[in-house]
Amino acid sequence: MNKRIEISEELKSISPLVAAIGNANVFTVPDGYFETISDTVLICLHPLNTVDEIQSNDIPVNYFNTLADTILAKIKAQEAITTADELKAISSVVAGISKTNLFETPQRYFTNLPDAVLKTVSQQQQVKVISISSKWIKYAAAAVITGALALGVFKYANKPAIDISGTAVTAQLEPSIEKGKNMDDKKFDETLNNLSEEDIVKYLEKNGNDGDLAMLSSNVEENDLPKQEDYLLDNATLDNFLQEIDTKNLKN
Amino acid sequence: MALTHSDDKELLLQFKNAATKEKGFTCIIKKYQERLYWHIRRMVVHHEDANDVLQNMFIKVWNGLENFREDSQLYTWLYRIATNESLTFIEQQKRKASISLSDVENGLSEKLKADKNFDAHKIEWKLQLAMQTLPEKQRVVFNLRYYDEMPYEEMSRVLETSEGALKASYHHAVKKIENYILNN
Repeated sequence: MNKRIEISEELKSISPLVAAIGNANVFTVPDGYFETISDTVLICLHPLNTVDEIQSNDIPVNYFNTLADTILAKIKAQEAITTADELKAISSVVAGISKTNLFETPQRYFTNLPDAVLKTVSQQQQVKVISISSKWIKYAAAAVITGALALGVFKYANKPAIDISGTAVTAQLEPSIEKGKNMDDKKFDETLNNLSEEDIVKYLEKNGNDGDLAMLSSNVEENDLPKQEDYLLDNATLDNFLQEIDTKNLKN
Repeated sequence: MALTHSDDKELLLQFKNAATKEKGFTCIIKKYQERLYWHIRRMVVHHEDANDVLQNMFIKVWNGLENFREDSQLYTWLYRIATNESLTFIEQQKRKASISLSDVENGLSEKLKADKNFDAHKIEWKLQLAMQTLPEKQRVVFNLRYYDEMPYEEMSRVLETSEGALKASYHHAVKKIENYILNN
């Protein structure tokens, strides 16, 4: 009681006007609300399969088992009406235009599409980075060597090696490329520039993640690539660039 | 075709199993190819361009699906990739040709006019021409709402934009289209 008086006094001190209004409840509840609330809560808490057992006889059999579907169907129907109504409200001119599809697709296009995509994926896995331009290849090799590897774009470690046995050139190349990690910038740059495109491709086949490489190459214009001297001199340039691509493309 | 979350979960499980990976992926393509194709086609107009964008996006899906986080729905994710790919394609076209935005709009309009079924007197074609005058992102919103009848809540997840901004964008798009149709 004292607490109530305190609060009342407090309110009076803050605003006599508000205090004078009184705190009568202006809201009403449906008849019998508090008599049935416990049953209602119980129904909500009860597992669905036993709900029907505690219902009165005027609820249809399976009512609660089908309720979710019924409501969802109504929501979907309402949504369909809403888009039409909404459009009508904005523009009766546009709403009056039929949505007839004006475009055509080649015969059996959709039937053949899954196979076409799978074929491309398979080719991509076999051909690897061959189709990637010279600048890309050198860039990718630099990325692999300079350690921009933890980003998920180039996976260097724990990658199953691809069998490229019989490629003597690659066997010679690998140690020199690996040495790149410890080379000074100038020497590394020279080595990279002296390598043939074919040799770098072979190296990347073994060490680079080609799916990611292809994705990277198709997403970025050549002009956007950092200059070779930038990424050779400063690993952070490469890291930042790859991080940006990684975030943009792999986010979901 | 119902786009249920549980079906997608099953397809994702198939994809993540090496033995059923291709089968699962084929089912995903079959399930979504038409919706995504038309979404892309309305953006890039030409079938050949739409086909390129669609195939590229599915290849990216193949590469990224392994790491797909199921806190978003598969089809929301697919729509997002399709939208981004379409916008990237248009951007690349712009950059390759070093042309202004209005030239791109004209280019897309010209592509429409080159369609063998094009009929300048038909109001449905006028609508297509009017759509090409919209800014790209507004065109995406119009497409998703008008053709795909996508709820704003879902669109908000696809485009990562607030529902309010999407409603305003759709309203502007429809008004611009109406204005174009009344004056052309």
